[in-house]
Amino acid sequence: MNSDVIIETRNLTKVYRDFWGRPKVLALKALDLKVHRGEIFGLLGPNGSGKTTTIKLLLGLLFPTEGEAFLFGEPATNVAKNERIGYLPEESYLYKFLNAEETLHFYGRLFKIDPAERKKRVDQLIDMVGLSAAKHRQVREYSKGMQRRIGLAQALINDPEMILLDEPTSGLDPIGTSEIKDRIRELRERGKTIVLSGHLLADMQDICDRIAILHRGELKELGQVRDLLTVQDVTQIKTKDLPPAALTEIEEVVRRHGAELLGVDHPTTTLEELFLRIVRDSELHPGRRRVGDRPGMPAPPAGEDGSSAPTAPAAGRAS
Amino acid sequence: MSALSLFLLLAWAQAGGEPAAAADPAASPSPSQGASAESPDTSAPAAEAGANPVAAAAGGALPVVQPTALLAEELANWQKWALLIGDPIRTVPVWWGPILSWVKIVSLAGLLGWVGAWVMASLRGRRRARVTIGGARPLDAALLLAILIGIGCVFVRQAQQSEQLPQVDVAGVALASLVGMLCLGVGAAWLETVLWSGILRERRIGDVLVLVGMHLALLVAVGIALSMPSGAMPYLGARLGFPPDATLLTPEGELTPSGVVAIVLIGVQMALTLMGFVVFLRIALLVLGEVSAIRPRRLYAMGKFSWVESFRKTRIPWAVLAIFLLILAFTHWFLQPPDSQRQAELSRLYVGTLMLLSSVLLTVMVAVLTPITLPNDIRFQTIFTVVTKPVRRLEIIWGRMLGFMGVVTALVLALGGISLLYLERNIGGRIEQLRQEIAEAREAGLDNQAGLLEAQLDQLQTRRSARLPVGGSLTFVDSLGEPRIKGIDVGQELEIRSFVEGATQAEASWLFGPMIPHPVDRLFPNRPGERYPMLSMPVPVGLLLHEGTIEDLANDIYTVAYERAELEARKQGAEPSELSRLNAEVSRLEEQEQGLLREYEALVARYSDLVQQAEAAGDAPEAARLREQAEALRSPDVPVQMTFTVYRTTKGRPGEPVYASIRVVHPFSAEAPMYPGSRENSPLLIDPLARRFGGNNPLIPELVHSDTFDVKEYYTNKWAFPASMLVGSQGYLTIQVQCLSPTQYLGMAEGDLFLVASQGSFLANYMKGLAGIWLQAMVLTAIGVWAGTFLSWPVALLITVFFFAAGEIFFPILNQLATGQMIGGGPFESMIRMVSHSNQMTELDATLGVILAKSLDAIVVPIMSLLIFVVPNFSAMDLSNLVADGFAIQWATLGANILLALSYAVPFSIAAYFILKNREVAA
Ligand SMILES: Nc1ncnc2c1ncn2[C@@H]1O[C@H](COP(=O)(O)OP(=O)(O)OP(=O)(O)O)[C@@H](O)[C@H]1O
Ligand SMILES: [Mg+2]
Repeated sequence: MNSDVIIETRNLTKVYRDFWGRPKVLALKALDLKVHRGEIFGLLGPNGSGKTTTIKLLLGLLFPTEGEAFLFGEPATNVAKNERIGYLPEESYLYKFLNAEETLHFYGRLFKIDPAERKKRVDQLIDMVGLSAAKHRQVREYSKGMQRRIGLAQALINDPEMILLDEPTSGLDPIGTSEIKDRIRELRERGKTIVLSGHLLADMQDICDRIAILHRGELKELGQVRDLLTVQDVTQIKTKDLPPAALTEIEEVVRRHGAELLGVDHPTTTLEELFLRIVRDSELHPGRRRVGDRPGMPAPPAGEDGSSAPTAPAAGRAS
Repeated sequence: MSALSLFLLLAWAQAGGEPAAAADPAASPSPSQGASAESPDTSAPAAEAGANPVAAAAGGALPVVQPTALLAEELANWQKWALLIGDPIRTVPVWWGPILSWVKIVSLAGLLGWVGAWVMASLRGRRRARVTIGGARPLDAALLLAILIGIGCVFVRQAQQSEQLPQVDVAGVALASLVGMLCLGVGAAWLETVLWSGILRERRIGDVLVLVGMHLALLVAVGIALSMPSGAMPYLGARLGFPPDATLLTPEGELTPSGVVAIVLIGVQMALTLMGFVVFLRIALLVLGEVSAIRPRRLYAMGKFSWVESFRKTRIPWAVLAIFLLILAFTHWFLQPPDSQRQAELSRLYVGTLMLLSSVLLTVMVAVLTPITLPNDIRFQTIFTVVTKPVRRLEIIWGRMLGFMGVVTALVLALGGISLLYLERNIGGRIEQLRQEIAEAREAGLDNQAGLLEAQLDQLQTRRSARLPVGGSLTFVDSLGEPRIKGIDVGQELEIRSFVEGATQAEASWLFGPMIPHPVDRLFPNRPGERYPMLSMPVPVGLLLHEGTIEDLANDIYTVAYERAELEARKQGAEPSELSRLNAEVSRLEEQEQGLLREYEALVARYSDLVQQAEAAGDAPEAARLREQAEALRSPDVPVQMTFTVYRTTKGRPGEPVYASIRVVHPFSAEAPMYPGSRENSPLLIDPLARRFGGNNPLIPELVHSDTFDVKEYYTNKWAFPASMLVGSQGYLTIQVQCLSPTQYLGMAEGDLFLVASQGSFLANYMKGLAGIWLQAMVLTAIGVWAGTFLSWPVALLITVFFFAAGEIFFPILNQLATGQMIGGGPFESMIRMVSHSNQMTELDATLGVILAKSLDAIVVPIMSLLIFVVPNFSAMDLSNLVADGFAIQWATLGANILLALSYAVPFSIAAYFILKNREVAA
């Protein structure tokens, strides 16, 4: 296996069952993903689309109904690989009766870190998440944002190679959010691989290299953020000093008169627009759009009415 | 190795030895536990079982080798081994016997768990069926049908047995049984399909191997079962518990249908056990892998976490401490001595109550604490951040247990410390008070009163020590002089003692010795059938004869003499070269003997010198000092303690004391033969120095030492005999007790008379008693954590409490159930008896209800019987009675209990590990 691939899932499927084993929810359907070293990978999707389920499957907290997940080339249930992983759960599920310092020491002891180093890291991390003043208070007294911060600190206690963050910015104020985004970029600079989920699209757009969009457990879109947000069938022409009267003849004028053409470009939409369009589209035509990992490939054309012809891979997968 | 084997044997003895002790009347300071710790006498054999149902219940469920008249001469050696290994509960009384049983039980539990887990996994992961009948798969439908018909068959069999339905046989076997077997076959087929499909789908190579191995085991078992020679059938039938009159063979030596059933049963038993071994192997390998990955730092982290959690989150330990103090503050209100004459009861009451209180509080704490935290951890998803760290699942389980045990340890120490302080203030205070009163009484010249008080003081102090009792093996002689296993039954229910009649030849006789036959074999040395294992109940001569004293030296002379005698015996028919070597050795020993004898004479001379000087000495202190010096040269008298009950017939005069005589007989004396009924009155041992001294042996002044005393009921009667009685005895001794008062009966059980080998410190003993409570807590912790891995906390709590109750209270009942000795039938039949107020012994009329109840029992009882193997024998670990009665808890007993506790705690924790590993933490 390519050592550059940190996470790989094959046909990963999860069906939640009730007590009697009867299927209840199909939370994830045949997910195929690869996350490469040094990437910031975003998992996007509306509520209940299977983001958290995916992360739990990757960590071995859930067992797949079908398919497999590998981290660092090891099966997800392997314990030893956790030495290289940091995880921030969706909500900060922390022990309320410990204080910040005890929390980090407790988790730190579970890793192979020598005590002096652990002590140093605990202080550093508490400082980093800005909880130095409150480090002796029990977690039960913390506000949601503070709990989120200590949660992030515990995810980083082992200086992990790969970090899974389930909605890292939920519950944080704008300053906290931008701090976290900075942290994440910093981590990438240090060569870490980061997988994060979330719905705050603007944030995701800012920091993710690649994203996957899930909807009702199905992968709807996967690729480089830049490519995904490029609208191929619209051309944008930026001109300078163009006389208003020439507006209708602009193409001709440009072509014929040799006016100063600053650039012909494809405009980008915002991630938010793309997201809403995919969700709306999927709702109208469930199961129509399925994509594999196509970094750099143009997004399938989508007509205004949403009745775009299915692309070849989508047709292939939908059957 | 032999120490380990002893421990393991004791572990089994403890596992089943308890109910007999539990039945002891509370007031009787019976050292039966201590005694049973010294000999594996819990293997209650059939002959005694008949006479003593309590003992039978105690030993019955255990793997005991029952002497059977049917010897399996037909069987080849390997077949005997195969039977031993293949039988789920049978074992042998050697050191590895308990291990074998333990492995078998754990294996069977593992088999059950493995099959259950895979059936569930397989059913859950099933894809939609192609063919269905009424929505179910054909095989599922068949299984359902088979279960219903199978249950129906049980009902029909019951009805036929109560002759409500006619018997219908096909080829000599009841039709209902045949149909039942068919149903079992359907069940087996269903299981096969489900297991194979599930395991192949998951592609788990290890489990595929296990499944293949299980089928091989099945083949082997079938092969062995078929290889059984038909001549051994009666023996096999008896082993399986077939009635003795069952005909397994036709006169021509062919198998009857019942014989076929017997062979099938043997095959099934063996197959199950062998399959269990396959699963055991798999489990052992997996666990070994996991254990090798354990790191102390992570265990410590998990343990510390649990500790902090217990104190900070649940705060239960604080509550326990507070409740203990609160109750203690009021105890002296309701703990009053029963009457001022019975001071010993006071001490017993206090110690017993404090230990009981500690034990109850700790048990409640553990039962509440341990099953709650893990389910909540899972429920509130806090466990996510833990299991995504590199901590192993087994570390989570064991770490938690360690943390909880840390809490238990802290509390045991706290409660123990407080209890001891409390005891010191109360009992210690009372002792001081008595001393003062005695002094006052002496001053005032009230010697009678002082004597009474002294007796009380003595009783109080006896209980505040740690006596190490050494028991013997008891047989009786009836009033006509005939040897008996039991004395007279005076017809009192709940009385485990049997009685000797006063002023007759009736006598109770305790035999001590390192190698003595079982009472049954002593009384009936020539009976047919296998012998019981020999008992080992020696007098601890080394402990009782003090180093360097006259008696010790005398004993040393005998040790050399025995060695010499043995060499002399070897000379018979020895080769010439060997003969000269032996001769040289003998003369060396003779020299040594002479030297020791000279030393002995010198020591005796010094002794009498000192005594004479003391007599001659003018002033009293000087005389006392000399006498003390002289006494230091002698071993102290050997203390004997006994507690007897008296049964007074109306003819007796009330108030008149009952007198008893006691005789200690040296093994050289012909008056104490090992086989009481034997005609030639031969001594137990031959005196190797008899020729040297003639009839006048200075080393052993008397071979019989006797005395009379008046029996004080409720009291520990104390008596002592000269230490010289032990010289040369090699641990053999006989003590005989007779009742002298006509028309009175003296009641005694084996544990009622014992030598006191040593007096230990009460404090240390109390600590050991607390260790027993600690062990109980450990097992309960394992169960609590185990239950918490797959149940929500309320259910886990209930299960934990159930296990404790079942182990502590219902263990004897379960035992009866498992051994089929339940009087009045199973739970459903009992219910009918209760509702209809009918007698426990009579057969109920075969009404529909009764048939129904019996059928339900037939289904439920085997399942309930299995509980005996998983419910820990908590009461066996509780040693507080010994402490309260002032008996030393021996290290061997404690060691056995540690092993017993581990033998439960480890499997439960391993089970917890597998459950936690194979469950979705986030589901
Ligand atoms: N333990 C569970 N039992 C049953 N169904 C579940 C369970 N957990 C999640 N689901 C279902 O699985 C689907 C996916 O849930 P998941 O939590 O993965 O969504 P998500 O993308 O993380 O949503 P959100 O953005 O709200 O966090 C949902 O329909 C949810 O109801
Ligand atoms: Mg989520």
